Amino acid sequence: METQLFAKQYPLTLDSISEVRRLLSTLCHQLALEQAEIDRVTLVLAEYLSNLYFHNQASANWFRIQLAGVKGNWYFAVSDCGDSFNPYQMDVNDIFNGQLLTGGMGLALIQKNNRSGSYTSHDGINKFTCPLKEQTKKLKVVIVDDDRILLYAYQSFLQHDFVVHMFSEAAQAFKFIEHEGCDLIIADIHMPEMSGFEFRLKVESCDKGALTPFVFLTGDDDLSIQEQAAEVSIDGYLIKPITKTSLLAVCTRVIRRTNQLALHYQQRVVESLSRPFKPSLPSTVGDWHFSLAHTPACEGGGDFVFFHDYGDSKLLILGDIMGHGPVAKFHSFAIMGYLEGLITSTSISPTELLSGLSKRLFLNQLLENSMLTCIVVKLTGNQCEIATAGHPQPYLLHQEGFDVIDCKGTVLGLLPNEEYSAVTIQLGADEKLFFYSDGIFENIDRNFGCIDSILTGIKGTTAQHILDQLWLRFESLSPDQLNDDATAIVIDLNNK
Amino acid sequence: MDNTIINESVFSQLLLDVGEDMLPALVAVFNEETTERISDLQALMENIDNSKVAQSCHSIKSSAGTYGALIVQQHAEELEVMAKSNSTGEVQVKLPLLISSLQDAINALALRCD
Repeated sequence: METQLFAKQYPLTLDSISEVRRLLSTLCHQLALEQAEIDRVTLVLAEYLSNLYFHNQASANWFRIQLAGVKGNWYFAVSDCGDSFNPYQMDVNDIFNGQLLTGGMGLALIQKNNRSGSYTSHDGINKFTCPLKEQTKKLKVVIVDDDRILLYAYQSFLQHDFVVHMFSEAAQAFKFIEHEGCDLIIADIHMPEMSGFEFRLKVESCDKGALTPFVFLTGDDDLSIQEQAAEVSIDGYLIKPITKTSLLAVCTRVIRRTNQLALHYQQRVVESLSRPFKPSLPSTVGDWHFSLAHTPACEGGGDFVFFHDYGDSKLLILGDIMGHGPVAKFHSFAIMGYLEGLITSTSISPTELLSGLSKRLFLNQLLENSMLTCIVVKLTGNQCEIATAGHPQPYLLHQEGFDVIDCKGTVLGLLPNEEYSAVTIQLGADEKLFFYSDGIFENIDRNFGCIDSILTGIKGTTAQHILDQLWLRFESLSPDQLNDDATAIVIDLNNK
Repeated sequence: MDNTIINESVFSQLLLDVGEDMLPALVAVFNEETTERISDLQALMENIDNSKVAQSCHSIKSSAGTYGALIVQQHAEELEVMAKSNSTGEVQVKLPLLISSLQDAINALALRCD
C-alpha cells in the first residue's frame, strides 16, 4: 500500500500552476532529492501543466496533483479532464521542425526529462505520471596543485568515483571550500603564492573546512618537509608521482575513517538523547490495550510516539521525521514540545491537532529540509477517530485478515491553512487497529512488496500476540543494522 | 636506469588508469605545459637563477614521473639538488640535457597518441 504525501485539486490557472510547482519543489527538498533532480521534475510538471493551460483549456478547467509512493520510490501524478493528448505518442523530431514547437508545447522536454513516465486516459480522466529518482550522491573532492599536468591526471584518476574540483591556486580553492564545502581536500605543499601549509591553516579555520579530511600530495620527499607536515593536522601524506590505485586507496581510506568517527560521535549523541525519549506506551489504559514495537536506526531516526489520557478519551500520535541522526532526533523532540503545547485540558480532535501542527510548522519552517508524517488516533468509547498527514494508512485487523483504512492527508507544514479529514471506525471484538512508520519499507527488500506481505497470515488473540508475530517477520526480513527507525503499534479493546 | 624516453610499464599503467579516451587530452596538456617550461628553461640558460631552476625542476620531476618520462625525472631531480646547493656551473652543464630530454618526451608521447 503506497503512502500519499500530498493530493489536491486546483482550478486550471497560471497562479495554480505556479503554486503547485513551488509545492513540488518544497516536497522534493524535504525528500532530500538532489537539486538537479528537483529541477528536472519541476520542469516536467511546468511543461505539462502549461500545455494543459495553453492548448487544452477549452475542455480542462481543473487538474489534480498527487505525490505518493513508498519510501525511495516516490512519483508525482497530474490528472485532468481535458482532451486526451499523450505526449509520448508525438514524434518530437517532427515537432522540432513544425508547428507544434513554435506553439511552445515542449514535448521534447517532457519526453527527454521523464523517460520512465507514463500517460493514461480512462473514463475521460487523463493521468500523467513522473517518477522521482533518488540518486546516490558522489562525494566532492577538491584538488589543489599548481601543476596543470598533474591536476588533469588526478582528475582522470578520480572522476569515476568522485566529483572532482581542480584548482591551480590555493586561494581559489579556499574560496570554493569556504562557500561550497567538500568531502576531501588533496593539496600540494610546494606552491607559489600560498604554500600547502598556509592553505591547511586557512581551511582549518573555516566552518566548512575544519572537519574535512585533508591529504598532502607532494613531490617533496625530504625529511624536513615531512617533519613539518607531521606538525599540522592532516589525514594523509603522499609522495608524487602517484598511481591511480594508490590515490584512490588513500581517498577511500581517509573518507571511510572520517565517516566512521563522525558516525561514532553521532551515535553517542543520539544514544544520550534517545534514552529518555524512547517511544513507549502504557500497555493498558481503561479498556484499551496497546502494544508497541520499536527498533531504532543505527544512526538514530526520527520516529516518536505521543500519548495523552483525557480520561474519557485517549490521544495517540505516531510521527516520523524523515532523515537520520541527531538532526532527526532533535526535530522529533521539538515536535513533541509542540504537541505538549497543543494539548490542553480540553480534548482536541485529530483533525484540529494536525491542522494546528501543520500551521505552526509552516510558519516557523522548522522542517525546511526534512519532512514530518504523522498519524493521530483518538480513542473514545469503542470508537477510533483517525487522521493522517502524509503517513502510511492504518489497517484494521480481523479474523478473516485485514483491510486498509482509507485515510489520507497532506504532509505537515506544506500549506499555510491545511485542513484534515478524519475517519471513524468502531473497533469490534476480535478486531485490532494496526499502524506503523514507513521505516519498515526503508529497511526491508523493496522487492518484497509492501506491508500486506508482512500482515498476511498473522492471527492472534491479543494485540501483543499479533505484534510479536509481526515484528518477528519484519526482523527476519531486515538487515542487522536499520537505516531508519521502524515502529509499529497494535491496539485492541477489551469490550467483551 | 631505464633509458627509453617513455617507460613502457609506467605509461601502460597510466593508459590503464585513465583509459584510451582520456589519454590524448592528458598528453595534450602535458605537451602544452612542457613546451612552456622548455621556453622558461631556455630563458634561464641565458641568466641562471638557481631558485627558479629548482622550482621548475621540482614541478617537472613529478609530472614526468606520472607520464613515464623517467629520464626527464632523473635530470630534473639532479638539477633540483644542484640548483638548491647553488652549484651554478653544474646547473649550466645539466640544463641543456633536461631541455633536450623534455623535447624528446613531447615527441615520444605525441607518437604514442597518433
